[in-house]
Amino acid sequence: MGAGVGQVHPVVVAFALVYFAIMIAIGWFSRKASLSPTEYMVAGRKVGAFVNGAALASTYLSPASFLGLPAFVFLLGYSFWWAMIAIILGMPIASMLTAAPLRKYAPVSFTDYYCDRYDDENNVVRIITTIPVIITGILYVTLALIGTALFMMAILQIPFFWSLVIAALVVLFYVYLGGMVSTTWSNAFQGVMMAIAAVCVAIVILVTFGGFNGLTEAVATNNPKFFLPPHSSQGASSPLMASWTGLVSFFFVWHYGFATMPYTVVRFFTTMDINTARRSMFWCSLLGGAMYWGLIIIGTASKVILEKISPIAAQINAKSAMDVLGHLKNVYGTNAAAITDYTMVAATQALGQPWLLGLLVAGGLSVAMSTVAGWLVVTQVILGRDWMIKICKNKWATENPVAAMRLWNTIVLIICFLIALNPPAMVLDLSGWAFVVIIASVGPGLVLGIWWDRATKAAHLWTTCIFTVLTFVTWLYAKSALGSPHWFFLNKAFGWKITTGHQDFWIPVAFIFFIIVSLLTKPAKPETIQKYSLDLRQD
Amino acid sequence: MFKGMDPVFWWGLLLMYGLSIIFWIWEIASDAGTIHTKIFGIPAPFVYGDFFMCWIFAMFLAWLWYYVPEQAAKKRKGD
Repeated sequence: MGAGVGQVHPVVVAFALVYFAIMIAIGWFSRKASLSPTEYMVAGRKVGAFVNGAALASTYLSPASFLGLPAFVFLLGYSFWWAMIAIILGMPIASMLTAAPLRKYAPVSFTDYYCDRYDDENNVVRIITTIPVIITGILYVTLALIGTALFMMAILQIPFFWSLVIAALVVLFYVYLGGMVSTTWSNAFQGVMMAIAAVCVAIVILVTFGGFNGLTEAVATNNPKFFLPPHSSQGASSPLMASWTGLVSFFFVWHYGFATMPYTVVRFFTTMDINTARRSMFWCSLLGGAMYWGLIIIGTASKVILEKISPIAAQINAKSAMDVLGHLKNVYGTNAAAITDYTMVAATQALGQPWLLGLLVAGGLSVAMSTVAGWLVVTQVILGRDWMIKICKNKWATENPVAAMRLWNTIVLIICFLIALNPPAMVLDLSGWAFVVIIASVGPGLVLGIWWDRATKAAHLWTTCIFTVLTFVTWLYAKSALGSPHWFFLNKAFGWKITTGHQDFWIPVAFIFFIIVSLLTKPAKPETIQKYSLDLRQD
Repeated sequence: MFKGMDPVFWWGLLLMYGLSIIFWIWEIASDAGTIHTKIFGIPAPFVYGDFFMCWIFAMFLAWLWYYVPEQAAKKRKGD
């Protein structure tokens, strides 16, 4: 018998219980990490390639991947496959661009590199750099908590509030106890778990439809426009994908995030050496690629599963998959998610296999909780170490660095928990903007700081300030005035219909701006450039 | 800018973006999409997009970008 809506199968509960038991055990057995700040912040720089690669994959790929991207494929059609392909193709880029140089430099906090490279004598660089990181961190922890709660609520039938409480308590437990050590081991386990879950669901879908040909035929019959490319004379799968700008701009929204996002960059600091940092990208691509192979198939099949296989469609006499999703949203009674966020869960429920739902709940919880833990480690180091010790020179924090980080770990989690209880609708949409703001604001200062002698402090400060604001204002304007944050914000003024996913054109503009300001302003001292730029480029 | 970067990084990027652009052009040039073309008896995008680019090619790039710098470092140490 399957485990559908309103039913909880013991197999599904068993998967969830085993998953939580493993997470709690990892936290308990890594509690000695709190004895040393280096262990707590960067896992003693002893992590091997496979463990780091698996942890990188699970940290980087969030509920936005597991819930959001199959939903995007469902909504935008085949062309969105390329956005997902680009996320995985972006992973190895970090290998030579940032991972090896930053591991050689071996900092503790994400902001350390900026402070050293740009001669930060009065903490201005540290303060400015942390602002977009803290905003993004709070957004992502909130989103990931909501993702965790959605999985528990939809599959285990636990009310949204209690799902949130359980998720927050478990992640608080293991990050609080073991810091980066427990985060690394739990995330490595979760990286393997989420890949297995996505691949298994995809294989069951392929078997259900009789293979790739059967699936293609079913999808094309159900939605004849799904596989149409941009500029097709037969129409478009979505207005946003009607021209090549949609395909290309969505390709680049998340593509460079892996090399520059703080929650992945800090993982480069934890490896044994430079070679291990580079090798971990291979394992990360293997697990991340496997997961995305599965998610692409799940997203492609979702609509036809919901409309033709789901028993709910017949029960409520649904005219489309959106009716099924709307029904589920009413059943679960929460406004903490977009209607399409139920796509992945609903499609898997419709397949009626309890063991598959059990795997999905473990995989979904893995994706969500690993992202919470990864961001919590970043924010606790930034607030507990950078702000309390480096900027405010707080005596208690200086004498008790681990306690200071644990304090902020708890505070950030409580803030995000409260936002997640009843999040403004916009919070859920901001995950894409979070990527663009980080890559455009602090990305140039990191990448060009390493690879260009001429990069200057003024360029980093101006780029961070200006592009944090510009990306947000234009994103918000496009969303409110044009109906979607993916339309180019000046479309109305010029009568255009250009798609720019999450206004990601700001990324190349920010790099050009950084280069121009650098050429017009005073470079860092020669010894600084030698130590934090030239010396980092060689093994 | 980017002085000291191993040339294999640029060759890898050229290959990645070059292949992506070739596939995009192929798709846009096929009015009904490439889904009707078969590779190994399977609709083409599942082979070149979902399997090759999303998984195999990403792993190849990750391998290329650790193997070549490691060999170069070994050679420098041996000289």
